[in-house]
Amino acid sequence: MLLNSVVIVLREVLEASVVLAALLACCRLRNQSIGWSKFAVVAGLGFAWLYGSSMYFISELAGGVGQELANAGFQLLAFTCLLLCVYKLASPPENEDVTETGLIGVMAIVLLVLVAREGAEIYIYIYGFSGSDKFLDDVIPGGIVGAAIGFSVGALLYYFLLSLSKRWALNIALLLLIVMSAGMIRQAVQMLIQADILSGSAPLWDTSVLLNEQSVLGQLHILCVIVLLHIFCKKALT
Amino acid sequence: MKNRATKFARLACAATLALGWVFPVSAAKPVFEIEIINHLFEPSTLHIPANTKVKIIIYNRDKTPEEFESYELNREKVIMGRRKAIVFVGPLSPGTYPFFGEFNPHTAQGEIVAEENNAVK
Repeated sequence: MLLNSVVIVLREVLEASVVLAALLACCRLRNQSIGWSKFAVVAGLGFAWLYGSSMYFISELAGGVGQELANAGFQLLAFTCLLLCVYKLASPPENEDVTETGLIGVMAIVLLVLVAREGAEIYIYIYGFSGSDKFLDDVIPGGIVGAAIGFSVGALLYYFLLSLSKRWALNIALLLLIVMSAGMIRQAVQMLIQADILSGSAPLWDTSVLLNEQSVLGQLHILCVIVLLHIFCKKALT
Repeated sequence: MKNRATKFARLACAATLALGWVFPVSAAKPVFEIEIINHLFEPSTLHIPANTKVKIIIYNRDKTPEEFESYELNREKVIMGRRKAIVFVGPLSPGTYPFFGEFNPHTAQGEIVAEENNAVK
């Protein structure tokens, strides 16, 4: 139960923390302030509470698939905004002293949506078990440990990116953001297939023999990628 | 005026066509039910017809939420306590597809068996 809580909370926190770290690193590389992220995270937590506590109502909407539609909508919004960010970040800033309000706004939306969605899932999990006897022994400690690992990975990634040369830092950060956005659209499509809005089909390929989704390594692969990047690439790319 | 009306009519036609692609008219699907009682799925083995899209209604009779999840089926859904949830599954080729409750993985386990000769109810 304890390990289960750690993995559940870690998985949710990891997605938001990796995107946050990459976005903040890009801001630093463009000499933009990162103060906007605090407001986005706090607002995201507020929305997470709101979304989580309305889940009883939302899940009953649209013939019982309200939850899928809402999740898919959030993921599509985050995906679109993230692609806009990547597009803007890929080009050098026109004027280093000018605050790029549009870019910051779109990054804030991405962060807000991610924190709201992941936070709501954690809220539902924690709130759901608040009455059980395992709450204080397993769920809370596991959740804290999972969240702490997630934040640490984000911090590790942030400082790793800033330790690289500017060109490599930007390229790796943007590649990471593109991969994360692909994950978002995958989740959105999965939700729409689940809700019978889109038709599913047989998978194009199945390489689960190489990395099984069910294994701990498979679930936390992004963590492993970041650790490996840090160990092997730092020397080569500094 | 005429231009605006034509423009609106064209937009309305385009929107209807687009929605037609997104929301296809579908025939009624067979419905199956699973209950979650004391962190256990009941029935733990569900037999469904192969190569058919089915609708599964999951009733969570427990107070705490549960997440119906399956890697093989590619489905993941949180069902709040004392609520029901709808999950569409299929069309599946004949075989066994395990699922589990992510919040209580040691107890909440089950499988969906897609069978060729299973008559559609």
